[in-house]
Amino acid sequence: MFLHSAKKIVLISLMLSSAITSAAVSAQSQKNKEKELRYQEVFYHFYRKDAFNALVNFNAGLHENKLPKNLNRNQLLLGSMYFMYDLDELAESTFLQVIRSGVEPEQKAMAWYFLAKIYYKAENFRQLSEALKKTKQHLPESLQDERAYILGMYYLKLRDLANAKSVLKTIDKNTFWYQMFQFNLGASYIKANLGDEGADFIRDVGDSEQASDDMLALKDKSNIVLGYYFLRNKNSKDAIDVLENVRLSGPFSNKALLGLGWAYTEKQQFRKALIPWMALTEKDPGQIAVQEALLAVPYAFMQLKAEDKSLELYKNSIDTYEAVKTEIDLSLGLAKKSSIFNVLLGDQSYDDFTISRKIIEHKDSVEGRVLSDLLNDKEFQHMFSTYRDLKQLQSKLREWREQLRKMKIMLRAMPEDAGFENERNPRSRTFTKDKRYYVETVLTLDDRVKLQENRMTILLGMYDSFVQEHVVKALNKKRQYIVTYLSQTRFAMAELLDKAQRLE
Amino acid sequence: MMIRLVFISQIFVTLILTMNFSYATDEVESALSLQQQIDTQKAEMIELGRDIKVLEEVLLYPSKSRVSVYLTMDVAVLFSLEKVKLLLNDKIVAEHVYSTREVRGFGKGSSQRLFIGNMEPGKYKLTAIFLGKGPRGRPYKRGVKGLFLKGNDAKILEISIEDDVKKQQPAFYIRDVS
Repeated sequence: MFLHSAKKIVLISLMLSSAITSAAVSAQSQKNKEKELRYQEVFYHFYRKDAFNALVNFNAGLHENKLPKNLNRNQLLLGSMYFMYDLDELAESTFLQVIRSGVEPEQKAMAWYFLAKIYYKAENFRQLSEALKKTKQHLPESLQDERAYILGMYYLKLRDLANAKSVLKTIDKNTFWYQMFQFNLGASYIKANLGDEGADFIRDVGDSEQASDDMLALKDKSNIVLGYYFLRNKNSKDAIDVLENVRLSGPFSNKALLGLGWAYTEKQQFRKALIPWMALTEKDPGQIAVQEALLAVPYAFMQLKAEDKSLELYKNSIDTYEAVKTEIDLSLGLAKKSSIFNVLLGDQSYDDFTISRKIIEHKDSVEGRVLSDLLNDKEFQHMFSTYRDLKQLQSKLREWREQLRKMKIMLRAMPEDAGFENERNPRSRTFTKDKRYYVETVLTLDDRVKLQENRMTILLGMYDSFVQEHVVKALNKKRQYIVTYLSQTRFAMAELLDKAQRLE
Repeated sequence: MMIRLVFISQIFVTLILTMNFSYATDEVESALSLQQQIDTQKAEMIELGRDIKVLEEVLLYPSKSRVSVYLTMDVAVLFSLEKVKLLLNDKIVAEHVYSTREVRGFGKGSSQRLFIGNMEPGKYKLTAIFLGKGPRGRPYKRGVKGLFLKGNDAKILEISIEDDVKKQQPAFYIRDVS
C-alpha cells in the first residue's frame, strides 16, 4: 500500500538533484572541481541503485574531507541514502542529528519528512503524527501531495475515515498520489461496510484518464476490487462492466477473467461464462485462477446439459492438476535441499543482468519456474532483494581481501623509513604517519574483513534457511489447493457418473 | 450444484485473502532478529568499506602518481550513451556498457570515475571512444583525443559529453581539472 521503492528513489532523486545543482554552483573554482566530481560520483552509484557503494563513497569522502562542505545538506543526503538502503535506524539518527543541529527551517522540514516516512514504515503512529505536524510548513511544494498522502494513510490506519476523506481534498487531482490515496480510501470504506461510498471512490480511479504504467496498473487493481465487491453483493451487471475494463495483458487479467465468468454464472448465462473461463484454461496451470477455471469450465458445460463434454473436461482437469502436483512435489524436493535462490544462482554475480539471464536460461526448468512464480509475490521480492544485497556484500569482502593483499605487498616492498602523505590533505605533503602505522592498519582491516566474512557466511546460511522455510510453506500451500481442487473434481465426476447411471 | 459453486467461489476468495502469508508471532520475532543482524552487518560493512577506501588512495594510488579520469554529461539530449572505451597511450584501460539507469543518472548530474591508476611523470595520450545513438536515434560512434602532462601531483581529467546546439551534434571534451 505504501510507497514502493521506485517512488522512494524518485523522492530522494528530487532532493539529490537539487543538491547537485547547488554543489555545482558553489564549486566554481578549479580547486574545488575534484570535490565536485567525487560528490557527483556518489550519485553515479546512487542512480544505478547501488546504495552500498554510494554510502561507502560518501562516507569516505566525508571522512577524507574530499566533498564540498555543507554539513547539514550532507547529513540529509546521508540519511536519505541510509533510508534507501533500508537502514532505517541509522537514517533516523542521522535525521534527528540534522534537526538538533539548528538548521534552516526547509532542511528541518525535509528531515522531519523523512522521519515521517520511516515512522510510517515502522507503523509507529505516535511519532508519525508528530513528524507530520513538523512538516506542515517549509516543505517544498513538490512534496506536499506525497505528505498529504502519508497523512491520509495515517488516518486510514487509525480507521478515522472522516479525517482521511478530508485529506483527499487537499491532494492535487492530477497526481498519482491522489489516485492512489483515493483507491486506498475506497478500499477502507468497503472494509468498514460502507461499500457504496467506497465503490464511488474506487470507480473514480478506474475511470481515470491518466495513462502512465503505474496508473494503468492501479486502474486494473481498482476494477478488480470493485468487480469482486459487486460480485459479493450479487450485482453481476456492474461486476461485468468494471471487470471488462481490466487489461488482458496486465497482472490482474486472470482475476478479471475468472470474475467475469462468475458474474455471467450469477446471471445463469453459462455460455457467456465459458468465454473468459476457457481463455483462462489456456494459460499457465500453475496459476490459481487458471486452476479454478479448470474446475469451472466443466461445471458450466454441465449446466448447459452437455454432460459428456463436462465429463471429458473434468478428466482433462484431473490430468492437469496431477501434472501441477507433480511439479510442485519436484519443486518441494528442490526447495528442501536449499533456498531456491541458491539453487538457481549459487555464488554467481548478483547484478540485475546476471539474474535476468539466469531466469531466462532456466525458464523451462522446475527451479526457474518456481523462482519466477515466487517473484510475483511482494514478500518474496523483498526476500530476494535482501538475499542479493547479502551476496553482493559477500563478493565485496572478497574484493577487499584482494585489495588488502596488494597493500601488504606494497608495504613489504617499501623501505622502513618510507614517508606517507597525510590522506586528509595530500597537498600539504606532511608525512605524519610512518610505515608501521600503515602495516598495523592494513592488518587490522584484514582482521575486520575476515571477521565479516565469517559473520556473512553464518548470516547467509541463516537467511537461506529462512527463505527455504518460506518457500516450502508457500509450495505446501499451493499443493494443498491442488489437492482440494483434485478432490472437488473427482467428486463432481462421480456425481455426473451417478446421474448418468441413474438415467440409464 | 449451487452449493458447490458457492464452495468453489469461497476457495478462490480464501486464496485471494491468503495471498499475503501470515506468520505466527514467534516467527515474526525470529524474522525481526534476523533482519536486525542483517542491518548490523550492512552498517559495519559500510564503515569497513569507508576505511578501506580511505587507505586505498594513500597506499595504492598516492597523489604523486595518481591519475583519475571522470566522465560527465551536460544535457546530452543529442547523444544517448551505450558504451565507452578508454585508452591511455593506445592501450585500453577501461571499458563500460551503460544501463538506462546509469545514463539517466548522468542526465541528473552524476559523474563516473572511469579510471584510476598510477603513472610516472611524463606526457600521455588519452583517447575515449563513445558508442551510442546520435541525433534522430542513429547509431553513433565518436572518439576524442587529448595529450596531458603528468607531473608530481595527482592528475584529474574530466571527459564531458555536451550538446552542440548550433551544430545539432553531440560534442566531446577532455579537460584537465587538477
